[in-house]
Amino acid sequence: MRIEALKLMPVSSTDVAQTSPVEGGSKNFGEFLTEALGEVNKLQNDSAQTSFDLAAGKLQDVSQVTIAAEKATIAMQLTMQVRNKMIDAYQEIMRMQV
Amino acid sequence: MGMFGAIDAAASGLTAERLRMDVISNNIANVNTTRTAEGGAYRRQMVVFAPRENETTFAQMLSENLNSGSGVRVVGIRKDDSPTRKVYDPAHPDANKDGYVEMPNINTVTEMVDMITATRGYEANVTVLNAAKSMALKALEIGK
Amino acid sequence: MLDSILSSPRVTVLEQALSASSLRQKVISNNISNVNTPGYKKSEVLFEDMLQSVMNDDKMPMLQTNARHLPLQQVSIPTPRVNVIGDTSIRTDGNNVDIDVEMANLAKNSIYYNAVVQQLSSYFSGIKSAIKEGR
Repeated sequence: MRIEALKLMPVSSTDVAQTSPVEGGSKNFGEFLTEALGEVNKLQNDSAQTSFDLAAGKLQDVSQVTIAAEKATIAMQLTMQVRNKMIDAYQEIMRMQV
Repeated sequence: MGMFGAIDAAASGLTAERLRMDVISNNIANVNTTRTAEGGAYRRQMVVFAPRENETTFAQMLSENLNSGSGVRVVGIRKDDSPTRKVYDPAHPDANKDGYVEMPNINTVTEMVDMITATRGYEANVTVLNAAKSMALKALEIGK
Repeated sequence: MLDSILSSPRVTVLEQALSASSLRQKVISNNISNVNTPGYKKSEVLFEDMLQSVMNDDKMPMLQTNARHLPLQQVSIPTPRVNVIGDTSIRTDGNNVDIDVEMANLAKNSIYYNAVVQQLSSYFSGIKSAIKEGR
């Protein structure tokens, strides 16, 4: 591998400062997160409903209540981690020296 | 059948086998009883079992077609009408005019075999009950 | 602020179910210890059916369509009640305790208790992990 001397490279003038929204089909990140929060809420409500059914003795099997609780917990933790990473990324960007 | 259907069915089986054991024990105790209140010798008793019908409400029938029944129930205790044994013993207080005594129609060997069947049935029901309970408790460990 | 988390309908219902279940444990063990007492009539604890009828009478749908909508707030959750079953009798000494049924009830109650405890603990640990932000 030949080592060359450092050369001054001209800065290419493409527009990198502005992030343009992705075209065609996919939603932006805000919509994605709101949808995920709605899903988490629905799973939490399902889990609450199975809890009530357990207390009233209306369940068919005990595994229903455990599985509903597990789904709600996983959805909640996943969304929380996504939110954490997003906040960390935002803070990282804010820390950047302009 | 609900969350505890298997346990209820096993419990009904336990009660039924225990009742059968009571009847068998009564039969064996009375194997030589020649005098009863209604006259004649003691007649062998048998239990009759039938599957327990679900008291399904209309809403239940609409919602779930997967109803597997809920165990066993005792229909009743019937007398065995097979003929009694006649033993020749003129000295017996209950001998009739020909010198024959009417002895109960109980065969001890048959009763012993029934007793073993009832014991094994009881043990099997206990195993089912324990298995159902451990399955449910295991389901609570999902995600641990 | 704390009320909606710590006294949400779910928590109060599960708490009452837990106390009903431990009461039932005592009643069943009392029945079993009296299996040979002449004239003893067995007792039972009524809770699930009362809770179910309260939930069915409630005209508001149980499913929360809005996260701020709290069902079961107006209705009171029934307290468990001990009921003596005095009318049946399977033995000549007046005792109506069937040991097999009582043991089966013991098994069912143990499953019920464990399930309710698991539900409560998973609810509280979910709250705690949300407070800690998952870190």
